[in-house]
Amino acid sequence: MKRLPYLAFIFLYLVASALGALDFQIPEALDISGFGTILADQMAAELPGKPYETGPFYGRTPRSDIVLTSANPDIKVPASGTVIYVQAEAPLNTVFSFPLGGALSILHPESYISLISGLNAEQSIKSSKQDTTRVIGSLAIKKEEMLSGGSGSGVYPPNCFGLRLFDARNSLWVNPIFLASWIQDRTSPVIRGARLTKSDGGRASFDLGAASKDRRITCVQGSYRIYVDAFDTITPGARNYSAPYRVLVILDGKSVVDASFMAAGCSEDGLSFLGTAAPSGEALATDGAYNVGQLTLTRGEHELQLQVSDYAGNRSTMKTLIIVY
Amino acid sequence: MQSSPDALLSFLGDSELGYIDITANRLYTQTYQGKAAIDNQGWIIYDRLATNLQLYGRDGQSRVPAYAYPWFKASWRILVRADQMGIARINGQGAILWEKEFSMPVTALDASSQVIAVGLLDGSLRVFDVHGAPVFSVGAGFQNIRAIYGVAVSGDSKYVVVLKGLSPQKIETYRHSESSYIKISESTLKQQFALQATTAFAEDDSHVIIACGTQLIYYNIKGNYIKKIELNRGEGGSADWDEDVQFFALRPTGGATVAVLQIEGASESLDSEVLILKHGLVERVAPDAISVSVKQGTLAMIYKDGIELLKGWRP
Repeated sequence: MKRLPYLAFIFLYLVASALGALDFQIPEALDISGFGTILADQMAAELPGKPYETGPFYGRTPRSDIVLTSANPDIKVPASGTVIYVQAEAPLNTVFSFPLGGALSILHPESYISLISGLNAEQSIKSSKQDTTRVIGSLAIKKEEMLSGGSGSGVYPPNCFGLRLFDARNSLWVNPIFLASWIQDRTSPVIRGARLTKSDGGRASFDLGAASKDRRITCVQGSYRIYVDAFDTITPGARNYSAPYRVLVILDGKSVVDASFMAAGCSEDGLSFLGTAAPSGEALATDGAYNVGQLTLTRGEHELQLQVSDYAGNRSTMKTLIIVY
Repeated sequence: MQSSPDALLSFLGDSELGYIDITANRLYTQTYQGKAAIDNQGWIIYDRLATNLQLYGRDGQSRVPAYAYPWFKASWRILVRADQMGIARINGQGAILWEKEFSMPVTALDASSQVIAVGLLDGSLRVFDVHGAPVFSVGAGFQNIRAIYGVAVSGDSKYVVVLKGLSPQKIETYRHSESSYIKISESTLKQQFALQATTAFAEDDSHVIIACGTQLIYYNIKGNYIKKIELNRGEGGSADWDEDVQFFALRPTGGATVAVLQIEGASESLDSEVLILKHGLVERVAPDAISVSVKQGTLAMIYKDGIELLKGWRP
């Protein structure tokens, strides 16, 4: 699998600085399911602690948006801009409606584009009922303007909205969580498990979680992919869960894997998360564990430390002694 | 059902679906809750949250393991991923034959029996054959706002028509050439719409009907001209922005005719009718109808409480 190590560089030096210039505010919400969280219905009891179905399941990929659960059926526009696309649900089942339901895409300054989904269809149409022959600015929309969600739309339950942010200059879907200044997250992510799997396609797999009992595993030398099953809760006591933000693997004191959900790269083949090549399914194992990277183990005794942190810097760690022969 | 699949005309109502045996004059119906997609091989019933897709076919009933909405057309069974960032083609048993992920949300979709065309938010157009192999693509860029609002593929796969961009908003026509497509014309709309459109290509390839909220557009392929369809709506004259009317292009109904669904009113009290347009002019009106199916000279008008069959339909 091709790594994209320059992604972090691009984000830190280009995207993050431009984001600072963008007047974009994630609306306050009761709950958030974050960027990179596995795309699935969170209301259908896929709760922390419950394993995923391990069979093939189309659509189980890391999500490139965040889902906001609002206290009311409205959502504030995060930033001013120009509406470039409006999608509405058909009022009858005889016409196909797309899964994002009512949706608005807005072009913001600095070549950022947002897409708000789960909106009330009539509201969406109302937003589009403007004659754009005069000037394109007639489809202007202002920050903090209220958009209605009604009783839910598309795959979104009532009071739930999808929000995604695209950086057109760098061709990245950006994790907008840093634009939600109102969040106070003091809860560390939970590491449910982690494993090493031989990269040569063999079936050899070593459960790092099991090592917590005797603190050591024994394996043959070679290259291994590391899979991490972890989740985070952004708002205290909330029902929704999120992907962790960053996974760091430290081998004998040296960082060998540094993967994060700061952005998703775009290519002809789709989206790339965690530095894996597109499509996005490459970033997941069939059981829902995140494919965070690859490391090489040589003969000898090694200490492997796994650090999983959320966007606020809260961190959980797992240490394992590895005997390699 | 004992009928031959060739004699069956599938239909989808708002809460009922089924088949009409056009030779034996039999009607097979089933009520459903939620949403549904149907073709001659069976149907899928699904809930709005996309968590429960139930497939019905000759092999009985089974669950499709997917978080997606099904979209059926011209023998294609497509799953549109819940985040609109991908599609998958499935077979009659619900197994995935191939899948594609895109870097942008899908905003438009249409298919003939041979190709499927996918329009994306950034203005990219991707065309695939039945095996998922790329046939044609148009790249994109956000320097100009060029989202694709609608796409239409002619029944014989000869043309692909795209409604694209703002300032200017254009209709672009691509013609099949050898194993791909080439752009043959483009035309600029005087009035622009940022709203996702529904489209239908006339069977004779003469034109495309584009329905965009309150507006209906006729686009003539050979003449490369656009005409706003003005419907006589009583004293108020033609539909305008203030009216609570929406149009949806449904399907070609043979020759130079296309069926359009007109809906008026709020969600609690919707008035509907199906218009059959011939070159953009009203040929037939079916008050209260909500959809239409057509096959082998039989036109079926679908109502909430029944079906009207017109045999010997010659548009």
